Amino acid sequence: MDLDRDQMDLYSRQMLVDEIGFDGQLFILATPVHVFGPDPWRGWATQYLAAAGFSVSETPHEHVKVLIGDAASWEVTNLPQRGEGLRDLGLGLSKLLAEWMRQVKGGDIRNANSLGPGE
Amino acid sequence: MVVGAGAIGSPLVRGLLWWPHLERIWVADNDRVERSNLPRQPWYRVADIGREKSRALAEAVGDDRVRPITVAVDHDFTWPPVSLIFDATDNWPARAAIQREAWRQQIPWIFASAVRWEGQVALLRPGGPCLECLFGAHPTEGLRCFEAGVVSTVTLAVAGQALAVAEAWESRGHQWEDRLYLLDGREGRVWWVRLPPKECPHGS
Ligand SMILES: [Zn+2]
Repeated sequence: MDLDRDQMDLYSRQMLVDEIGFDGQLFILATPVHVFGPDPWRGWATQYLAAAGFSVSETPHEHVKVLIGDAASWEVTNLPQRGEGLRDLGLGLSKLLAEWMRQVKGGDIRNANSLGPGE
Repeated sequence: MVVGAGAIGSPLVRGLLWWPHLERIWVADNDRVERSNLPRQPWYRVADIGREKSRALAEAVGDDRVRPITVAVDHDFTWPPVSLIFDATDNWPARAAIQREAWRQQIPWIFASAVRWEGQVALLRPGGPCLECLFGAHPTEGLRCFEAGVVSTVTLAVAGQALAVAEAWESRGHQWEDRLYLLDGREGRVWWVRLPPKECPHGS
């Protein structure tokens, strides 16, 4: 798997982040994410994760829950619809991404995700 | 008013629409949408590439309280009357221009920045600590996101924190403690340091 010129340009800023990089971006592009949750949070999470390159599907649900592949998840209840809620959504998704990145790069879940880079 | 229609400014404008009594949101940006913006600014579409950001954002949110300004906020900028200014830029000259105007209008402004997995937010008000009190007279430009990279969900968290301090200011402006908020996306946590309650010697 490789990235074309548009994709390189598109994902350049997030590939510059050491923990992500080119190989991390390939993992992102090869990994499905599922977002459960109520409006407006499901929509926000879906937009950001899809824009990062994940293949995102979504289901309306009472609580926010995000699954990356079948190895990493984050959930939260009762996000308030104001600044704090937005901040906590952003922080929760960031931590989930960082943890998942550590796992895939550490090789822990390589076999669980058959679409990793170079395969 | 939100200065910058990028990674921090665009979710901020969306969040401000939750304020029921807000009459007008000015959003100023003289940049155009680039492909590399799209992962952090998911309201823009491929079809928006090359368009003026502030105009594309106003159109994407579809609320007529949001008004675009397509010129640069700098020394020569003509400011509309506003009650609060959000810094969603990524550079110090724009922040200096924002602060100058905030002190002139005697209103607070909110500093916000994000690089890699980290973010910083502070509400600065007339009479309190200023940008120079926080970062010194000649803040080194530091690493900007086009050099160091940035994680999109961290910019979302920073926008949320900026909104949260503005909400706190609106609800209890008179008993205010000056704080610098620090966000760490890797750990998913936010904490703050209290800014010392000394007189600003730089004319805030
Ligand atoms: Zn000062």
